[in-house]
Amino acid sequence: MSDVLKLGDRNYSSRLILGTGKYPDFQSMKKAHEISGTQLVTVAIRRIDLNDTSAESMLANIDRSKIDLLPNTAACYTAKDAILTCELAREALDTTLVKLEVIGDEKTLFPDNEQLLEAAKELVKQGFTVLPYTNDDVVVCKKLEDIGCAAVMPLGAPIGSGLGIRNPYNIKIILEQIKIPVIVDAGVGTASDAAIAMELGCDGVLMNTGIAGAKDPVKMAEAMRKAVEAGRLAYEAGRIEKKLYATASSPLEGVVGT
Amino acid sequence: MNCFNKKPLGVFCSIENGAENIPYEPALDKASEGKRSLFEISRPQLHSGLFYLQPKVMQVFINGKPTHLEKSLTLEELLKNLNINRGQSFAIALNAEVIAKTQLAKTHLKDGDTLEIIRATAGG
Repeated sequence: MSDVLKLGDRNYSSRLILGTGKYPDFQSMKKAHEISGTQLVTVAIRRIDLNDTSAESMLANIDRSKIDLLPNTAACYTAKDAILTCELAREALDTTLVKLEVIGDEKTLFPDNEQLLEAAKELVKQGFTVLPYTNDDVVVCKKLEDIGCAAVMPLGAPIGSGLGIRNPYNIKIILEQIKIPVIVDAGVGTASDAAIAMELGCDGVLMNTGIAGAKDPVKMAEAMRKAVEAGRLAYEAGRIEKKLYATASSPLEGVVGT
Repeated sequence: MNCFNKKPLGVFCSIENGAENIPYEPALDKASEGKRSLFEISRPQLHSGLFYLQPKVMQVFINGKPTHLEKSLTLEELLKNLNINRGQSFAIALNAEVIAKTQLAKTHLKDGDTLEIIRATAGG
């Protein structure tokens, strides 16, 4: 398949990246992953509960033959913690793919760009395939591209907010200026949000709460798959120009009557 | 003492509520009182009228929790005591350095070491 999402040395035919958090149960997560067609899902890295070291049911519910893991650095507030989290993830999961997030503010979960750039630099040096969650800011995205990240992942809106693509013009500017894949990460609330991101020309969409928090996560996962596919097709097809006035669709000649 | 595992392991116990159970080292003039000797070198001492050897105890921090070990363990032995088996997807950082799985049997814990033992969990 020629239309693939290339992240480092991996190719994905699905452009939808999902999370594993907040699902009502692992069964619905598994079904949602399946129906969405996703080939990449994020996981968090956390301390083992020393009182219950045997449980590993979350990973057991991911079909690793079809789905790669993308460990994240969620809740890291410093480059130092994020780097160590990535190093641990690489050892635990045998992958160099990482979703790098370095948070700067608890309430908005917006990134701390200074720490993000520092962490990205070190992780690229160590050979990680770095996918950084960032603001919809072309300057930061350019710096991340120059550092050697495999993609940039600007937010559409705050994490878990479901507000959609708040500034499509910023995403458009990023798409014009950045050559590596652009993946909208965070903010998607419903199918049309995902379609808008893809119609703009984004290479993929990453979402968690939009599906896991829906009343029926499995149905929403299907909707998201269709939205991402439809949005991608529309982008490739090339939309018509917007005009203020009407243009008739039917011939003006041969109209019946006087 | 509160052991992590339900069965007593003898060498691996939490410090929680444990301090009271550590035998006192009696002062020479007051056999009924004394200071605790968590980190002092073992030597024969009088307790409840009996001589016995008090083992040297060391303290490490596992996932932020202070933990007493009655002897130095390798990371492999520690994982065994914690019921974490090698087949699981986990990783360990010792004093903020990731230890490769191939090095677990060769790495010995020292007093004051800080360990992070992690695994993948649900997240977005």
